[in-house]
Amino acid sequence: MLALIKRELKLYFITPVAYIFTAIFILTSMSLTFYFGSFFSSGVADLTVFFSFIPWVYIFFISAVTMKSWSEEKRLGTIELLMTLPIPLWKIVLSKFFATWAFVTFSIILTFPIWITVNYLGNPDNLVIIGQYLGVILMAGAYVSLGIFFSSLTNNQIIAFILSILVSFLFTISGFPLMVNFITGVLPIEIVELISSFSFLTHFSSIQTGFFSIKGLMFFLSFIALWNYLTIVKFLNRE
Amino acid sequence: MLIVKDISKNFGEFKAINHLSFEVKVGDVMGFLGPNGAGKTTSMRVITGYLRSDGGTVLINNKDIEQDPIFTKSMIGYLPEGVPLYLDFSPYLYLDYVCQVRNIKNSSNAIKKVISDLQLEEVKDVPIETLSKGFKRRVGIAQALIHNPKLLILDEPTDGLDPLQKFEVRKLIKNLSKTKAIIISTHILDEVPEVCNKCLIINNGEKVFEGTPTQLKRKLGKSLDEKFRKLVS
Repeated sequence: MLALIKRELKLYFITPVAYIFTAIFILTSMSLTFYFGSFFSSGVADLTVFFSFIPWVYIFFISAVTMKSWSEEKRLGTIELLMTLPIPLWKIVLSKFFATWAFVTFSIILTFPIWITVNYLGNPDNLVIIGQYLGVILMAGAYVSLGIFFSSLTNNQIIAFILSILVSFLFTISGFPLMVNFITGVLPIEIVELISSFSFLTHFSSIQTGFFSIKGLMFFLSFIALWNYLTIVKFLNRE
Repeated sequence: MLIVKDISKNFGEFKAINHLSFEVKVGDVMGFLGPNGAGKTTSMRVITGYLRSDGGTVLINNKDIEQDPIFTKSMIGYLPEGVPLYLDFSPYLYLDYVCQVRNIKNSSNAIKKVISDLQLEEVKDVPIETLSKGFKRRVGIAQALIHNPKLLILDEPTDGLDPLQKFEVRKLIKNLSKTKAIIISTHILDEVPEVCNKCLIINNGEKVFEGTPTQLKRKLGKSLDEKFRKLVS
């Protein structure tokens, strides 16, 4: 399995694609923080503003990273080589997930200059920031597992990209105050609560404080397990 | 080595393979023939475990591929149709990866051997994407051979090679056949008497001939091309 993960990572870094993706991720998250988040004028030495933009950047960034994961294997036909290796299917599926998650984590870690900046400008609570970083890395796993599933459905990367954006957007926004207020008027309160309990934002807000709630941790871990399971089922049922 | 018993595969209404049975032993090189769409590739995909059959059994070294897929897959070397490869990798990097996933001990020797057997020295560090069709095919054969499998399944191994390369690959297949069971699908009929000692022709997913190339010649007493046309028309 380690060999498969290594190959996936090599495939990312052998071409400039990985570096371009990482650069775009860092640029987008930083510019959102500085221009729209009023990072400096808020006068608070923490990274809450920065982290609050991360889910929105993930929707596009992670969908773009995962779109080729299975669809490219299907298009090139290399999936046939992969599936005829003497390796259990679950290991093949999970190796793709872990490699992509590791790559996204690498990009997140490279945003460290902003952490240094707040430390230079003030005295932030660094333990909280570490907690927040771990939180967004965990949340990235959820977006990755979802994106990889949609990539397994098609050999067209663009279709995988759009489907992944759409579904990640729905899972992100379902707990957004605007959305919650809107559906509260239309649907019974139990259903509104159910919908918003599936939202990344709802669970992310607990993570944003820097302290993991068991509920948030369990939510993201089960979410990751569920989408990986769906990907495995998808390939078990291939003709 | 390989026993295929009564396998069938349907895609919706379409019967891609219809109750196909055959056997290949160590020492055999079986030529798998048939017009396009006859079910050759589908059969190979079922044997290698890429597709699941709708009926029948496939035994490799007396083990059912459904019951012990990891073991049976480890016995197979497979060159799929169209030679799919990771184009960004160089042949060396790719073969090294295959060694790692297949847990091959002494991988550098194994890589050296296939690189020399398939004459890949000069291109081993060049991205596969930039290689000619012939080299790509040889990289595909190299990855199928690297773990020294007992059963070798090659979907059109000589397609796209120049006459000299064809000759080399046929020679290699002949040499390998002493210790392996080999299936090659081909649409080059002249190749059959040259490398194969067995021949199986299928049409519309059904077997229409099984025997030696000499028997095939004797059966109809015409040129191979003519016989082939007659059998599958």
